[in-house]
Amino acid sequence: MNFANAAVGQYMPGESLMHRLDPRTKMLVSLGIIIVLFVVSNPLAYALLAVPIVLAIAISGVPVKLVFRSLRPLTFIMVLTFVLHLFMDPGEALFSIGRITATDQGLRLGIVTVVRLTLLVLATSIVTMTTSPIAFTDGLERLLAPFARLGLPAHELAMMMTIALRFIPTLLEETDKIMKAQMARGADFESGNIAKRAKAMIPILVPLFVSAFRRADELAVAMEARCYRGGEGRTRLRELAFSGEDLAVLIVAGAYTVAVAVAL
Amino acid sequence: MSSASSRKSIPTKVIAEIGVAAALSWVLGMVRLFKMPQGGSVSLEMVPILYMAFTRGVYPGLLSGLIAGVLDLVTATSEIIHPMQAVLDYVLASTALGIAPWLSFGRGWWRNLTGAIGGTLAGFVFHFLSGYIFFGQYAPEGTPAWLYSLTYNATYYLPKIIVTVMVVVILMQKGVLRPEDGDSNKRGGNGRG
Repeated sequence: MNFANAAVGQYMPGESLMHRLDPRTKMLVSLGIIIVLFVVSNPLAYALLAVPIVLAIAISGVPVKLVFRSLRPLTFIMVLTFVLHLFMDPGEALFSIGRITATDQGLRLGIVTVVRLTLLVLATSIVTMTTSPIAFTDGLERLLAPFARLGLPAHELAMMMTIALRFIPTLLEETDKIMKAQMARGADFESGNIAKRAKAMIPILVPLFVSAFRRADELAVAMEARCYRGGEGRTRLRELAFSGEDLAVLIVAGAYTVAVAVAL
Repeated sequence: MSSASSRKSIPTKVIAEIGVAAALSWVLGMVRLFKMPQGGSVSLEMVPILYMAFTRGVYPGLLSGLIAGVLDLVTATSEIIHPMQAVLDYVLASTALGIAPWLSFGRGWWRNLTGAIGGTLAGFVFHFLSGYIFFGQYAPEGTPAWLYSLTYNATYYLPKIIVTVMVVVILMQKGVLRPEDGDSNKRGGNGRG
């Protein structure tokens, strides 16, 4: 039983331009870059799209090592894709190992796929690393607001996200505590077949669920005691502000991305 | 997203519960019950979503799944190779669990059993689609993409379904979790192992 990576998100506080930008700006620009990444297949286009991503990483002041750490979960899939492309695609033979042959076309497609994945992950990571989860949900709420007219509960969704993010550390701690308590009473989670292990989870899940939903109840009471009544007319301590910097970045980055997509 | 219940205001209590259920799902996803030989792992992250669907209804169930899915994306615990694949594998697959009550028959534990199986299978459909569309290229030569996706996904998802369904049925059966019960059963569980 182990908590794989208990750190929630990867936000690194800071004062850089990347941190100051409105979350909406960052989300829109990175979404634009991601879409274009999947539209183009020209190596030059990838090089050009890498420029704003590298620039963003550079000005964010987040250690490059940490940014690249986000690629780790994908290492396996990238290696696999590369190898499969290299040996499976048709094209002129480069070299062969036994009966399988690497082709030039395969090499090219393999590199393209790996570069595309790398850029995709870097573009999303740099946004999540410079945007606090709360700012992120705020931005999401504002971006989804136009859809509220169509019946999408944009405010409620953002509120649920905020609550969930707030409760993850609490519940992690709680789970840990309950597990240790049950282990101290002789509970065994590490042996037996899968059904036995699942059954062993019940003494953890029952107190965990009961306490979690009691917390939800208390939270709801606290919210209503403070006159929470949904999104309409709600004010905030910290309003998102769309500044001149945001407008400039949005226009420059937007025009650049569109230009790359159109030209290549 | 459910447009059927447009502009239906959600009670504050349910908003808080959905948030907590999504957080629970995230936390349970971290607790690996069993590691599969080829890398996937079996965990109980679907349990809180099914629980919400059974106790609060389809709409809160769908929303819990949606939030849990987006949470996975935002906190970068996910494997993304394409934007659409992310939507299928993380957002839609976990949202689909919410329809469990619609797929249930009978009453009592029988309802929970059939519903949980139905809900998890609904989630499986999206994993299958994602596998078929985006991972089909990894299929060994001669194997059709759909068969590859079906077998690949089934190897880790089937044990997950069995475990999830088992746990959901036991949890609902214990009755400990009905929020109306309040504090009476907080000492539930047989911790003696």
